[in-house]
Amino acid sequence: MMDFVSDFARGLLVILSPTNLGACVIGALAGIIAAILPGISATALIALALPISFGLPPMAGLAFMVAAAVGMLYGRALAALYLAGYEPGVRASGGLSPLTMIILASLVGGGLVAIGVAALAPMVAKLALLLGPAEYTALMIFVLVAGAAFTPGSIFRSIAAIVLGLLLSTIGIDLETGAARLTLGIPELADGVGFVTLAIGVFVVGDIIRGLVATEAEQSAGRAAHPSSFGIGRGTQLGILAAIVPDRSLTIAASETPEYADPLDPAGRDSVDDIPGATAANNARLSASLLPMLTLGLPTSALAALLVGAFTIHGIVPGPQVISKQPDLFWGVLGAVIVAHVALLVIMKTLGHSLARLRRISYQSLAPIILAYSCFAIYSINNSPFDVALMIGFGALGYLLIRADCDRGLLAIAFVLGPLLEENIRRSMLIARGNFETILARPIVTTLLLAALVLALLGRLLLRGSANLERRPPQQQPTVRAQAQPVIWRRWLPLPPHLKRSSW
Amino acid sequence: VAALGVLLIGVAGAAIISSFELPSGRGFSMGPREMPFALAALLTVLGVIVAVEGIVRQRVVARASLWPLFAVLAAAAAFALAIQPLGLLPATALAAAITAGYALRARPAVMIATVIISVLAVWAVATLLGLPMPLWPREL
Repeated sequence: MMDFVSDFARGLLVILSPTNLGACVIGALAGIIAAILPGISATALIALALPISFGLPPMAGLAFMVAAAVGMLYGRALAALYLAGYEPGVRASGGLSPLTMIILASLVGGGLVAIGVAALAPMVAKLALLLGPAEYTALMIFVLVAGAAFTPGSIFRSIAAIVLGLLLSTIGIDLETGAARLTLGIPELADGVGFVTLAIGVFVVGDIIRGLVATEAEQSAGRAAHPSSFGIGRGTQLGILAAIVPDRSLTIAASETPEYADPLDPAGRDSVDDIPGATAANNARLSASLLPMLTLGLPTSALAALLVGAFTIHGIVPGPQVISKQPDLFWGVLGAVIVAHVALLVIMKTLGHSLARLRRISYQSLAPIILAYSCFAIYSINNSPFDVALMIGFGALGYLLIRADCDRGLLAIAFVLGPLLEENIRRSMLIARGNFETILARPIVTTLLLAALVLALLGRLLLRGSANLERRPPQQQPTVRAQAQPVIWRRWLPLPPHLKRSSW
Repeated sequence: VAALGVLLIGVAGAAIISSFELPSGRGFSMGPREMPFALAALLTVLGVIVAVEGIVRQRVVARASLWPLFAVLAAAAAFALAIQPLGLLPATALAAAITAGYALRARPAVMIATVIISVLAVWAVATLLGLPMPLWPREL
C-alpha cells in the first residue's frame, strides 16, 4: 500500500515539473476548445494532437495527449449541455448546476478510476510478464474479436476493417529478415505507413469530408449516438467494463466516435439529464482503458490506440516493461490524468460559459483551417510530401468507411496491434516447432480463444437487444424547457433489459 | 458499401500479388510472407462478402455530392506539391484557400479570414515547437 502511495506521489511529482505541467494544462485547454468546435469527432481531435506531442519531450508529449483526451471529454459534455438547451443560472433541486454535475461526474468517473488503475497496474504488469507469446497472441485476438463483436453494424465489415488495419501494418521492411513487404516498389513505404498519417487521414480528413458533405446537403450525416440515462455510478461501472472489453453496446452512453450527439444533427440531441451519466461513463472508459494499454500494450478503443501511437512516436513500446523500466513515465501518465482533471475543474468553472460560445463557429470556416493544419502536421513528422499524399489516400478511405458504416476505430486498433500480433504469432510458432496443436493445448490460449468465440456470439445478441434503444426516435426526448428543470440525473436506474444478460 | 467491398478485393489482390515475391518461411519458422498473405486472402473473402452484402441488402443511402471529397483531396494534393518549392506558409495558404474556396463560395470575407487564421496557426505551432522547415520560398 505504501508502495502504491509513494509511486503515485512520484508520478504527481514528475507531472508537476514546469514543462510537464504546462503541457498538461495547455493540452487540457486545447482538448476542451477543440471539442467544442463543431463537426470534428473526438478521435480526430486526438489524432491532431499527435504531431504536437511529437515535437515535445516524451513525458511532456504524453502528458499533453492524455490531458487533451480528458479535456476533449469535458468539452464534449459542455457542448452537449448547451446543445440540449441549457442556460447558465438554472439550478437543480440539490442546488447544483448541470455544469457542476458534469465536473463531478468526470472527477468520479475519470479520477477515481485512474487511481484504481494505478493500484491494479503493477499486479497486471507482473501477470503480463508471465504470458508467453502464444498467450499474448490469443489475448490480442480476443481484444480484436471483442471489438468486432460489439461494434454495431455488419460484423463482416467490422472484421474487414480489422483485417485491413492488420494488412496495412505489415507494409514496410520486415524486422526479422529485412525484406521489403508490400511496398509496391515505393521507397517511401519501406518504413511502413506512419501511424499519425493513417490516423489523421482516416479520422480527420475523413471527418472533414463528411462534415462538408453534411453541411452541403444541409442534412444530418452519420448516426447520432443517443446517450441513455445512466447515472454517474452506473456510468462509471459501464465505462470500466467497456474499457476492458472494447464494447459498444455496454456504452451506448459512452459511444466514442460520434460521441454524444453529432452537432450537425439536430435529431440526435441529448437531454440535460443524460449528460452527467454519459460523461462519467466516457471518463471512466478513458481512464480504465489506460490499464490494458499501459500494462499490456493493448489498446481497447480508438482513443487508446492513438495514445499507444503517441508512445510509439517517442520510441516507447507500451507493455508490461514500461512500469518497471520507465516508472517515471508510467506514473507520470497517471498523474497527468489527475492533474488534467484538476486543471479542467478550474477551466470549466471559470471559462466554461465563454468557451461554450465557440460552438457557434460555422463548420465551413473551420474545415479549411483544420485541413491546412493536418497537412502541415503530417508533413512536419518526416518533412515528406509523400506522407501528405498518403494522407489523401487515407482520407478517401476514411470517408468511404464512414459512408459504408464501417468502424474506423477498429482499423486503428488493428493497425497498432498488427506488428505485435505478427511478432508473437511467429515466436509462438517457432517455440511450438510449427505445430498448431501444441499451441492450442495451452490452457490460457484455449480459454481466451473460446472466450473470444463466445463473446462474438454474445455480442451479436446484445447488440440486437440494444438496436431498439439506438433507434429511439427524436420526438421521444423531452422538450428543451422540461429538461432544464430539477431532476438532473436519475441515479440507480434499473439496467435496460439487454444489459442484464451480460456476463458480469 | 459495395464500393468498399470492391476496394477491399482490390487491395487484397494487390497484396497477394506482391506477397508472392516475398520469401516464405523455412521449416518451423514463419517468413515475412505468411502474415500478409494470410491477411490478404482473408480480406479477399471479406471483400466479396461485404460487396455482396452491399448489393443484396440495399439500404436507402442518401446520395451525397462528391465535390467536397474532390475539394479536400485537391487541397491536400496542392499542399504536397507546393511545400517543397514554396515553403510552409504559402503551401498552407494554398491548401486553406482551396478548401475555403469550395466551402465558403458565398462569403469571400470569411474565406480570407480563414486563410489568414490557418497560416497564423501553422506558423505559431511551427515556431513554438521549433520545427526545422523553411517557412518561405528559399531566396533565389
